[in-house]
Amino acid sequence: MRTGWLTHPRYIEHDTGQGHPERPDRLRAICAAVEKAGLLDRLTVIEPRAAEEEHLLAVHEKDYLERLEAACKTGARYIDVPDSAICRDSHAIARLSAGAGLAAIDAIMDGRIDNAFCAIRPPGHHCEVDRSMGFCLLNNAAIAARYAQRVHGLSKVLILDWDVHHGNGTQHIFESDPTVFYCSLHEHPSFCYPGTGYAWEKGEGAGEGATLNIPMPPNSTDAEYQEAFFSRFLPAARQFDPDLVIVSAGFDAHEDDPLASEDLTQACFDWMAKRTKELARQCSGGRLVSLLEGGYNLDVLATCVVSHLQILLQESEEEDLMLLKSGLG
Amino acid sequence: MFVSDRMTRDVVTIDESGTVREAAELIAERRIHQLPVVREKQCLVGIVTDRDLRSVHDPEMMAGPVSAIMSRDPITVWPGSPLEDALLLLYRHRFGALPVTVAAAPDCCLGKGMHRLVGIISRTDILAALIEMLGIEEAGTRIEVELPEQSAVAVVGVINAVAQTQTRVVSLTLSGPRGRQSRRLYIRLSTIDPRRAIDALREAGYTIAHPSCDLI
Repeated sequence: MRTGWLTHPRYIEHDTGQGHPERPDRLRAICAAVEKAGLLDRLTVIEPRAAEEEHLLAVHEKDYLERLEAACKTGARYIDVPDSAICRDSHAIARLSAGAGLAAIDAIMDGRIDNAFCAIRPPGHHCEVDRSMGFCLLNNAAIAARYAQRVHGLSKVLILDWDVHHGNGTQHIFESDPTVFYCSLHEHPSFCYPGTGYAWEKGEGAGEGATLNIPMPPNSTDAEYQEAFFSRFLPAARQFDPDLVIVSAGFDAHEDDPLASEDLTQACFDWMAKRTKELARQCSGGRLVSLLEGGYNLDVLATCVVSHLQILLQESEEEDLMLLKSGLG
Repeated sequence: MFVSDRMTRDVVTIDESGTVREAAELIAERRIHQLPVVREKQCLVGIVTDRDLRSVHDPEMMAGPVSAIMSRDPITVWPGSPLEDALLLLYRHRFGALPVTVAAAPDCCLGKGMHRLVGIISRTDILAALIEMLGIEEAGTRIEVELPEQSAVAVVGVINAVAQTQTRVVSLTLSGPRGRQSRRLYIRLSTIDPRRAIDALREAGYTIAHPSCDLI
């Protein structure tokens, strides 16, 4: 498969201050591991661009974008909540982070690549229409989904969010939109930030049924995640039959992640990536864009991303064979 | 928080001269469970509930006055009472809602010592207030801290530890020991990263309670 690799040196310049878990070293670790694994020769390197204002406005309120820009310019240390730390360049870098998904979608639609992974920061899924939350300055996945619909005419977009935290922002943005199916597997809202994503949140109005929340108890294992993914997410996703699959790929449900309490191993992230790729092949002509969200243990994050890329690169036939052998097909 | 902060002011009522059938229709149409019965629009004379109405099958009774089946002199609460008073009354009497009244003016139709209806407060109103007080719908991470004793010093210790993290406190609640559960302080912080708070609490000697698997 031709897999796009989108990252940018400027992502490292988004300075969140000392002791902040969403730190530049996350991307340094990922890039070093990808290089060390010899993946750069096999990946199609695509340079992200800054997302244009009109595409940001398809998701965010103008007032929020102006506040974000002003906060960065005036040297504020954070916007809205102390979690969302910023520096003077954060506004520009956030636009570059949101732009990666757009460039990836363009490349897929031009036929240059089959799928893509965007190693970006700041992350996006907590960001609401009008305010920042939980390290997120612009909602990257939402901006990409609207872009795919508006610019490339892809009508149905699936956003699968396996970050350990519920993507409140993405859910709220598409809550009443039946054309974007938001599905999230996350640590149960009673135990984990942000406290949304109960199973009864299923979308509103015309969007009823186009939101699927699968809250997982703390200390859930690979087997429990796989069971939920297989029996609850996959059938709903197949029924929705998306034209594009976007993954909000956080790797913080890993057992060694410091922020949350799930007990996944890398094998589960690999398994979910394979199933998602298979789903994209069945429904979306293979169109899959994976966007980095959380993951705060540097070693775990780097290893998981390398493996994630290797899975995206795999040829379908190869995959089918491996599945047969492993008995999971 | 007081009853007047949470009560519904625009109360659906029925005049005491109304029929049982009219009361049943009002309860069904307005989707309510309790219907205060009034004289001259404001003076509370009784209350009729959907349960009272369900027991009426006799057509003659249906056509008769609602005052024949209502509960007279209902228990009421004052708008200036703390919300806790309404909570206790609703809980102890297993009511769904309580009329909120003040003493009627001396020239009121009912005379001195009677009640003028100013609102109604339901279980749902109280639950909404509790949800707000606990901050359940606000973004944040919840931590349960075991408290060695219920002294102000122990509580301040928790607050001091959390204060080092500079996060906003969404809510703070305390419960005494009960059964197997220890005395605890529940704190909700508006952060995705509770580690600093947890580390500071542990350093100060506190134990963080974790959900046990048999509870889930």
